[in-house]
Amino acid sequence: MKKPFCLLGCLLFSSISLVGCSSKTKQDDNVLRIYNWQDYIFEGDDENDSVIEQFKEYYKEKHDGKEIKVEYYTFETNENMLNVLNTGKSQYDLICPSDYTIQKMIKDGLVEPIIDPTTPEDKIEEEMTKKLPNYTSISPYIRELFETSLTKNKQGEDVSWASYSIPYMWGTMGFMYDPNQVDEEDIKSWSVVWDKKYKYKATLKDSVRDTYCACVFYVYQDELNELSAKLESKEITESQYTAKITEIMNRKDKATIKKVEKALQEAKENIYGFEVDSGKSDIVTGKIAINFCWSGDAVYSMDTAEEENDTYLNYVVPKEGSNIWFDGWVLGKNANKELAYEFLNFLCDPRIASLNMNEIGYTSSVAGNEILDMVKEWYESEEITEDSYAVDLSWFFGDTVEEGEAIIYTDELDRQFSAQYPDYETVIRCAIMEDFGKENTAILEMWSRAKSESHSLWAWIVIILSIVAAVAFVCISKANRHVRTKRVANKNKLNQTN
Amino acid sequence: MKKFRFSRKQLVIPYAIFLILFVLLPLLLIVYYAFTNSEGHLSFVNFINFFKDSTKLNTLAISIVIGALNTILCLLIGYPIAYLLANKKYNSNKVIVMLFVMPMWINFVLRTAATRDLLSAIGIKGGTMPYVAVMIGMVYNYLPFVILPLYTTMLKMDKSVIEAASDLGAKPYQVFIKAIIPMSMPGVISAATMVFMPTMSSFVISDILGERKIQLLGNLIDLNFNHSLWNNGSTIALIMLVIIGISMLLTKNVKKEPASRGGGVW
Repeated sequence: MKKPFCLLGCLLFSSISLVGCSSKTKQDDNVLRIYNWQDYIFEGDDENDSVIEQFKEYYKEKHDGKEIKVEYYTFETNENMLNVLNTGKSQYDLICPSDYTIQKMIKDGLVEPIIDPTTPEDKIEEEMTKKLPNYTSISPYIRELFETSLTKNKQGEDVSWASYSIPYMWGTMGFMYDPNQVDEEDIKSWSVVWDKKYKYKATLKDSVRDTYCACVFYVYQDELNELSAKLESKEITESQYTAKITEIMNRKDKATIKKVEKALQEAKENIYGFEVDSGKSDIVTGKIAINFCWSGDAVYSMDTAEEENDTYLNYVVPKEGSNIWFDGWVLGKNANKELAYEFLNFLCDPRIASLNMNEIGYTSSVAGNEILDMVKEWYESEEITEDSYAVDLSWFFGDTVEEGEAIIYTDELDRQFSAQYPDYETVIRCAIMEDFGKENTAILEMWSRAKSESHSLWAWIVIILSIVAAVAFVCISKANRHVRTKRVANKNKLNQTN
Repeated sequence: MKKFRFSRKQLVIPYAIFLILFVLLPLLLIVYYAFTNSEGHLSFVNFINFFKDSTKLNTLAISIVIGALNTILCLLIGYPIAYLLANKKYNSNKVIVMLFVMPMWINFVLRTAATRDLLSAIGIKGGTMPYVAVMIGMVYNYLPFVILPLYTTMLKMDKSVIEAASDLGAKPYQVFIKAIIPMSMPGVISAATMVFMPTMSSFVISDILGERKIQLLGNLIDLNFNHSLWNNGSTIALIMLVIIGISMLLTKNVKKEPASRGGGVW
């Protein structure tokens, strides 16, 4: 029984891999294959060529006219991308997944290290700069985060993220809301989603990872509030605070899963719906008033709302804490390292980073003067008055700009600027997401359980009743026909005898 | 060597290749994944999980009910329309048929997204009443699939039988029940099979119009495949396939019945 099945499987697989192989040409030194999110790179306008074209030019100049080819592919979700990597023979040199997916890929051995993963923490910067001279233009805060965050590789060793991945874009998760419909105090807490006052007004993400986090923040809000009180009274340090939030946000024990399931079921009754992409336009048209979203999408919606409807939306990161996310570049298996390093280095150039940021609305991990100038041009008040807010971004720009330069005076808070560059108080209450790991199946089951209809007994009753009715109908009609044929036969007999 | 001779049989080759590559192979893959566990060993664990998991069974029940309800609603709305369309008096130039089929020419996702805005404009919001919105969307999308087969069967209906029935003294409702319905039964059945299963497995309509608050079997399959749980997803797909098979068999039996009753008229 077992053998034929395996054989069948082998046959199927081999035929598919054959098809896969034939479409891919042999490893070519002059080709760089990039696998990125949709709309996640500057694609050129009237003044500038696309980043890819500029890179080709740059490479040609640097290497005495050597021409290269760039193949650019896109994906829609981390999970889809993983599916493609797991199935296909398709091979990519550079991939741009999110934080928890990078962890998973490192653990599953789907990526190659950029530098030797055993490099001690204080040597990482030196090693990196050797490979990517522009490495130091990345924000020192994010660099440190990547260097100090550890994850397990396939061999079970602790390795730093930085040895596998180069940060690209980052942001927070929070609520985008319409200030005319939502009270400013309510929106500062995750419980707004469960608040009966806002029935059918809010949306959550139809993505297990993100909405699970939102529920965890709601479930443990008392603990988190206590924590922030402790921080205020200086009982704990900032880094202890962040570490504790990270621990809470990534809880996935049985008790937590159960609590989240209950919270999710309650939320489902109270929210307008789950969404992946429609929320950012629905809040502009006014279908909903609260949208749980990524900071980059918030910027997009705020811009659109202003331009199209002349309405003003706000973005806020709840006080209990939230998620800070990163998308980073990783090297695929057997990557063309030489070209990949060149491209990564090119992306870390602040000029290129500012082009990307300008186009896609997310915040680049790259700091430096070009970026700071652009941010100031966008957001700084024309006239600095007493009413202007001073936002200190030196936590982000660090030593990449002159000291004291990174203070921005702005007229309005909780708008595009705050979404793109949260202040330090906000950032320390944001934690990095971890992969579900072994708990993945249990959490997925919980998710579909919570999302399925809880009152479905009536459905079973309807089905059983209709089956009974159908059977009864068939029986009765058969019986009827039987009686009728008998009657006809009797009549015929009578006729004959007559 | 025998000389190559072109015969009619060779015309089938392109389709045979298509069939093997895009119908048979994927089907076999689904069977393979459904009967293996995550390590690739033969096992029935996926099926046991399915029938032990009340969530999946409930989703199955809801999907069946929504599918059946959609079929009934579509038939109730579509049958009179098809009857009118088949009557030359009302539809002399076939323009009205075109009007009913035309929505099918517009991209399905686009159409559903437009339905969402339309429904919320008239106050039926997917967020507040997901089931109502989804049912309207389903009926709207599948109505052409009911009207077309019914219309073609009714065109072929033998008018003399209907005339004979009323001549012999049958009241209008008797004519309808005893003559028209039996004669249009093949159309009803093919319409039902074209609506019932696609409704159960659709996930775009329930996602867009139900604001993702409704979970049908299609959504469940989507979720499992998106999170690399291919074995689970394939099992659900296979179970759905079996349900299609059973419902096909059942309808086949029903189809025979009118024929055995002497042309299905009396």
